[in-house]
Amino acid sequence: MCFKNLPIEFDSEGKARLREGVSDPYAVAVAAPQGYVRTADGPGAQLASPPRLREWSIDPVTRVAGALAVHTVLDLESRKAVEAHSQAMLFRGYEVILKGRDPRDAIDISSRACGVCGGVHSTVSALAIEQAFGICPPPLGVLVRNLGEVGEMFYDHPLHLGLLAGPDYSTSIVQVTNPELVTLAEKTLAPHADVHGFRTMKDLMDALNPLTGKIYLESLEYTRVGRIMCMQMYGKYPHPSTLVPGGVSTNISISSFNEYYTQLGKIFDYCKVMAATWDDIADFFLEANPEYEQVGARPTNLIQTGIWDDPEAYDATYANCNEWGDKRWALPGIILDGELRTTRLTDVNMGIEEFVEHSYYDDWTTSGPPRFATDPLGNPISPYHAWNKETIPRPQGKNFKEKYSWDCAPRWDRQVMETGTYGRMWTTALAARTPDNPFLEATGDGLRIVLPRHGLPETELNWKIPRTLNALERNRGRAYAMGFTAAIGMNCILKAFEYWRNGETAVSTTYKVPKDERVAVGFWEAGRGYLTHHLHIDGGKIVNYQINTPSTWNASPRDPFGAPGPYEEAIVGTPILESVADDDVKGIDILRAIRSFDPCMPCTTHMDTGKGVIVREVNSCGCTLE
Amino acid sequence: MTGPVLVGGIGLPWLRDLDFGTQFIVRFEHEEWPEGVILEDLSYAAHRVMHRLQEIVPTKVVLVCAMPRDVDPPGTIRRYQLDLTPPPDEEVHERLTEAVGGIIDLDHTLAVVRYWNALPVDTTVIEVEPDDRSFGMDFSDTVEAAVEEVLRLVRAEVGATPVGPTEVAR
Repeated sequence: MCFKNLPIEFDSEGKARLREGVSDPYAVAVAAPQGYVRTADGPGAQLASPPRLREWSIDPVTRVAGALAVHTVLDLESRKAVEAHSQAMLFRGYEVILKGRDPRDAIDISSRACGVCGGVHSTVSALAIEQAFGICPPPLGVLVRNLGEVGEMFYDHPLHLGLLAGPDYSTSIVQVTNPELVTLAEKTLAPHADVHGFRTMKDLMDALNPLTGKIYLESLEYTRVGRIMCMQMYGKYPHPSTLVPGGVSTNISISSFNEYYTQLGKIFDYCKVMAATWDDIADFFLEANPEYEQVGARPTNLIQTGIWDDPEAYDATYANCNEWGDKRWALPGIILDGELRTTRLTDVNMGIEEFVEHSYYDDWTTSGPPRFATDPLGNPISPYHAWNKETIPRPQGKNFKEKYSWDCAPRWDRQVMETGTYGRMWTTALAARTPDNPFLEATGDGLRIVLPRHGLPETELNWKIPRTLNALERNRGRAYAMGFTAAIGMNCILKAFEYWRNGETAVSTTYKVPKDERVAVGFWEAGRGYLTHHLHIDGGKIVNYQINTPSTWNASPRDPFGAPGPYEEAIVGTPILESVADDDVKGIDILRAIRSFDPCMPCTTHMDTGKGVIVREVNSCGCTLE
Repeated sequence: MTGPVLVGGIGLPWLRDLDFGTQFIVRFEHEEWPEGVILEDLSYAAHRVMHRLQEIVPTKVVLVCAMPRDVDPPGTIRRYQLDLTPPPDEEVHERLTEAVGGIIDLDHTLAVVRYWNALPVDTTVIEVEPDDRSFGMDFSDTVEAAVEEVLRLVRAEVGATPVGPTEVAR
């Protein structure tokens, strides 16, 4: 059974329908937020009274992309976080900006939603538009997009592992929070010294030190390699202007592929080193103290939209999205409690709802019936679905009981879902399906990745689905994801050479902007996972445009049913494992939990929200907000 | 053989005056410039700018940007020779951390590229104090009125025209 909360069932031919006899299938019974809410005289006050219960606010959370604040309550008696609220602090308003524009504008404008993933929004926007226009790129156009996306991952992942998350496990941080671990690291030989070249764990942790560590500096350099790969395919990065409906407008030549291949070769060794590095780091911490398994732990509920299309399967239509989605190199899917429920994109899409009970928006469902009761195939969708959503910003009721975030609360089948790089490996591994190829195999319990020889010998990496989804496994997964991505890059470039040899060199197709009413959705993934753009056009203009990003899911506040979002879930119960006195606690384990998601928050203050005071204009990644 | 002279614009897209650097480049890049002068949009994160500078190794850099310092009236043009003393490690780490998160900021760029010695000794910054920082595509009248003067200063910096009066204030 795919859905258990929404009253959706499937007939014998697999067509979805609402269960008969349910009078209001998408009714929302608002519940009190679960967990601690601080009030003057309520349960919060009682909880706050013991002297060793400490309220702790991190605003902003540093070493993440954008403006994220986290409020937690730490119980220093049991040394655990007992409460958490995740707050997205800024509004961006792309959905409002895009209304009434030519749909093609969405590619360039929505691209600015993210300063880190400088092409994924352009790509997913082009996917949505080509679906609406009824066109499909030639096979090589699909492969060029795939290769560009591979390059983007090699910007995102080194940046996160080397510059954002890595320092959390560096000597310079650990010697302040857990000096005994540094002493232990000095005496512990690094198991993969032959791969990464660091003899002891202390040497490896030194390499993660900010600004001076070898891995930190190498990672900074590899972000350049990733960008060069993007530029070979897109002409410019970030914010390429060459991603268009129906393919790419880049002048691609055989040199483009040759030069891309040269960069990919450099990446192979870095992938081997990073997998070895994060294996050693994760295993060292878990062996030193098994309680690290609980840092950032939450249920294995994952939602993915999949990336990297098969050029022979992709036809850009919603009607066939389950078929071409199933041929993606990284599969879409829903995992609940560790079990793969579906890999069908229509199921993913059907179960999506977005709630604003605790967000600075008005509920659009009160202003009339939904625009659409079904998707274009007749599958039921909720009034809270993206195709029915209206973005109505209204900062009000600024407290944790009412509203506290500019992020909304996306849910699938009304359940709290996380998404991530590791999530797409998880769905692919569980589905045990990849096209026949020499570099990658999904084994049902993991992935077998073969990276060709470069400076280091040919190496087989084996990523195993971890027992617990926690901070260390997110980072380990992200490190292996680089190998996963490189293997897909190898397959795609070989395929691209094949098309080129056969004279199939077209990378784009022509189109006309339709004037009738169309709805469409782009399914793609950013470095951090799930990414959709839902589009509604009429008369050649955008009627409604909705962006839903990985951090929209991960940073979400509580939903109307009272359930906390993924960051909040991951923080509550995280043990405080610092070996220092209460007053010296830095909260590093909370920060490790948050950063392991690779948060990407919005920084573009595009709108004055009335009486709000803009304290600083910045332009950056806006992956989370409206 | 010497490297090029780079005129770089740094702007925040869609934010009217704050997009000055980018729009300046867009407006004037196709005009005639002396040989060896490159005009480029550098409106991306600091480390990306650093990598770009390391690639082209310019002999001179002129950076153009609208920068709210809130000490001068809107439309004021500030021109200064950059002090290349590297900032402290802690500041660079903080700024780089923001930059890799995607934040575009002139001061981040100046800090990071100075730290890694990616700028030539001859580096000039030309800033305009913005007036309207809201969403939009065009400049405020105040900043629009400063465009020609900034162009004159940039041309003087790159040797396209004789150097005129230096510090200019409106």
